[in-house]
Amino acid sequence: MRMFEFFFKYRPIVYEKGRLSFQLLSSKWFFIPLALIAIGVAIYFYRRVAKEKLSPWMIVLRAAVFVILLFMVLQPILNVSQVLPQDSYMAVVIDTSQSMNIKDDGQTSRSEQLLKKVEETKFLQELEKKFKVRLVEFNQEARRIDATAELRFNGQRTRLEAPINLLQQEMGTLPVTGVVLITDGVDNASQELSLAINKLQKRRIPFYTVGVGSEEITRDAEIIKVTGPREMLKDSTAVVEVQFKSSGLSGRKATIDVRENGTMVKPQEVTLPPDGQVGEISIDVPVKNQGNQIFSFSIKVADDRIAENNTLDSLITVRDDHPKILYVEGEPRWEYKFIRRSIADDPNLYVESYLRSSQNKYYRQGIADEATLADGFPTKKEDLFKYSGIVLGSIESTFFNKTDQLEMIVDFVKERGGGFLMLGGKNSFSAGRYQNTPIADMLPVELLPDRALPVIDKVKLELTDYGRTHNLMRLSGDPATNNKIWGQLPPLEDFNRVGDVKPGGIVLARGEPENSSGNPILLAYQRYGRGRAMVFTTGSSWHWQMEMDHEDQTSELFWKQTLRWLVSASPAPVMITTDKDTYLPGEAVSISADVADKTFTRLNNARVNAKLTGPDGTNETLSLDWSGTQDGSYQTQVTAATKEGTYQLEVDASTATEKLGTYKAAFQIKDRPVEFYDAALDAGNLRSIASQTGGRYYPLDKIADIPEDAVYVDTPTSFVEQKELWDVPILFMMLCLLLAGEWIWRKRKGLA
Amino acid sequence: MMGPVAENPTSMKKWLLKIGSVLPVVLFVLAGFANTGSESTPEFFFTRLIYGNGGGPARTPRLDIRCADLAAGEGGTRYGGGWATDFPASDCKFMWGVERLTGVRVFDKGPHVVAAMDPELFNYPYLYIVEPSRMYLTSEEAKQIREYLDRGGFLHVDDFWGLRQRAVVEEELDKIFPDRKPVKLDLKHEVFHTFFDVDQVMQIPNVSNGCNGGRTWESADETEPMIFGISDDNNRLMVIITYNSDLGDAWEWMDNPCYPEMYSGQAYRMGINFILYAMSH
Repeated sequence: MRMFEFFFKYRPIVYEKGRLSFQLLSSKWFFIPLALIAIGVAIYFYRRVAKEKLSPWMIVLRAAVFVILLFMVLQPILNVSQVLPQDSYMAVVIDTSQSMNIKDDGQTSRSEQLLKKVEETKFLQELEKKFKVRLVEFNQEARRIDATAELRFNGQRTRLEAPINLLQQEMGTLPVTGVVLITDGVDNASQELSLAINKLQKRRIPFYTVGVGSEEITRDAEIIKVTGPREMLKDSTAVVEVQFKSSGLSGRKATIDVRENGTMVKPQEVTLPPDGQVGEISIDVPVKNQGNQIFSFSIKVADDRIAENNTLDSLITVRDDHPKILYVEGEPRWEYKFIRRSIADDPNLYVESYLRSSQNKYYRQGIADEATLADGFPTKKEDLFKYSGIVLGSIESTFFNKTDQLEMIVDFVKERGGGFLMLGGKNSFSAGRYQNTPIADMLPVELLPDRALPVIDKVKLELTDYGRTHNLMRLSGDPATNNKIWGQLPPLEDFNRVGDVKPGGIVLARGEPENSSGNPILLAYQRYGRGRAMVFTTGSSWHWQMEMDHEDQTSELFWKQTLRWLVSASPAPVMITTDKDTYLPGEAVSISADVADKTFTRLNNARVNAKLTGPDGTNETLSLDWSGTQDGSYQTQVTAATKEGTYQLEVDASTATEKLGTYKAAFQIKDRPVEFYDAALDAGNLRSIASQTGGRYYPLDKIADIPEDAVYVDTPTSFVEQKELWDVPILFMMLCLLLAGEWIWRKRKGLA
Repeated sequence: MMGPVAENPTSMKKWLLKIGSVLPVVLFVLAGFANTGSESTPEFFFTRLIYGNGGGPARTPRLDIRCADLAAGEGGTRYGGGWATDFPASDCKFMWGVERLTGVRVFDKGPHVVAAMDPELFNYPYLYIVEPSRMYLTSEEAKQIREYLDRGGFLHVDDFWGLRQRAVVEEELDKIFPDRKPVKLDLKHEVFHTFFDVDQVMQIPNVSNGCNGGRTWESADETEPMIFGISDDNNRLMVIITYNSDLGDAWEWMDNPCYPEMYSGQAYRMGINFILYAMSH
């Protein structure tokens, strides 16, 4: 500032706010033709100089000298409006949110730096010489204070519209010259900030924004987002995506600690990404305990300066459900035995199997009672739709010849949302004549047009790129170990050839046959309607059990994961959920329910109520209304309470004639220390506010300039001061330089 | 003026003949490497365990026997007693019956044998041991069979009679499972109901006793037929033991007019139930 004033005599704001005029001219625009005349005179002076000695630069330099002299002679002035001392009000608004406690340099907090600077520069005293000062502190709310000693930097939010609204209310009729807004700039709670600023713009009240803090946080690691499943079956593995970033710690090793309700589950090492980039990792979290479990993810690294942004939670409702799977096998074979054995000790999966042991004889296993499957494969939707998954082994399409059973299987997936898996075998895929059946449309792969029996060949299973990252194929949480496990599996002994994967299909594994050609698809799936359809084109995975040590659990783990995954997305006839698992106090909670009958026909005329129970046991009943746009979809909205904790929702749906079902879900209300997320000084936002209102932005170390600058405001009570420009030092300096420059040039050309 | 020189037609023909004779061979050989399965590609091999009797671990012999070569009514023991008792007639005839009565795709072209230490053991999850009182397992064989069973393999032990033979068999089984004892099975056990409903423990006599029509037992010190099982921790049968019965003979002599059908029928019913159990549990 001082340098500027040295050359230009006045502060920059004078030039910003001032209007140029000339005392000897009635209009400043007359200067232009006069300047042109001065240029013409310069050209005239060089008319006699021989061309070989003449340089256009000499003319330019001479002309510039004449123009400057003309400027000075015409007595230029800047007319700048200025307020009278103590004639108007200046509001000083100070941010007292928690982010002001951040120590950007690791030693001094922002609030300490601010108070020190205010003290050093006697900012308030200087301001009070010129204005009537009103002090306001704000965080999520704003209030008047009398002295800086009342400041307490403990607000949980920064809501910039709060002080603006307060000023509107309390100082709406007073002559307010400006507002000094001292903050680190991050607004995380305003709803209509631009509207609030508009009102001040209309009153032409400039904001002098002062940025506190560092525009870049050094040495901070932060968890940005945690995305996990809302529900899991007990004894499964939830895959949670954790996003994180860091500043000033790029490349360092950090640890993400995973806790379940405060109890350590596992640490996960990560490498921090470069500044400005987001790191992401998928963490396998075992879910063993039934109920609503809070899994927290905390990042730890040495030298981290802001610990408050290191942890985020994910609420997972762990169900001890028992989804039923119907497994139909067309012939006694080892694959059938070993699949059943693999999942036998899974407490949650119930597999009811129907084995055709001879042409007209069937062996049922895992059935709940003697009546189950006594009449064969279900012929009614309500019987089939009780299952969450269907597995077809080596069973030909013509087996299903009653009452459109094939269509029913497709509806099972499309409408009911069940999972479907076809295994390889002598009677599967094209070998089972499924081409040109409704099942073929559902599969993620095309079927060969002709009947093709399985290829008997040793074939090594290879994961595709997608398979390497898919949670279904995780036999280990560590990617390198996972690849090794898959690589060490014994080769399979057969596969059914299928066609290409369909556009919506995902191939998880292909084969490397020993003698056959190509890389046949071994494992693929696709979403189909509300459900999922999968193929595993071999019937010989039992070799993974018989050819590996009995303690090895790879085969068991693969089948448990596969079948759990198959049914994990199968909905219940009545379900309820919320749009998020975690809400801030006061945030809007959107509750939605899907309602269908036992054939999964979605109903729009059901009575749907939900009981909302808080952590202290208090409850209220909510009524959900049909959305009006989507069949079977019901909605309502509530405002999240201020009391933190886990909230239970239980929906009950019925029609006039029958009870449709109940379902439970949960969400949590938790105040997040948002002040510590993206906590760098947002100077851009402050510059924008200043610019929109006709003010200026100042870094904290320039706060002392404000009392001098803020007087230059055009108000009804301002007076206009004329500031002379003819004696501005820069003009004299330019004259000397230009004259010297011209003389040097003339000398070189032999003219001087 | 000279015209174009014609190629020698004889050398062209020879060249074509060579190609034509080699090509089918090449195609045949290549095709053979990658087999497309047929309807009868077998799933189940009735696998007879080759055992020694104290001379060290047994080895899988190279045999070239086809079931189709069996003479009508042939039985007898081509290869002596011990592991080869009733071999190969009982294997072939049993498999023919399984194939006819069930949906199991059996290997019925010839008998199938394996020794305990043969790595191929683990490719065949069903094993049959006959006349186990003549068997002596080395410790490594016992360990291998235990591993086989722990992985999910199934074993049928058949054809031993009386207390003396029982003691020997128990000692051999003890080498495999020192921590698990054979338990007498109740007829309510699932293994008796997987395909047929077996409602009695019938004594299946050897061919001599069967054809004579007299006693069906072989050793007077204990004559009652019993079926024992050894189960895993999840209560699945790993080993089934037909004591004081000879299912092997019943399969072997099923087409001998003097051998009563009721014994063969029961032997087939039991054997098929065992196979279905092994392939579903």
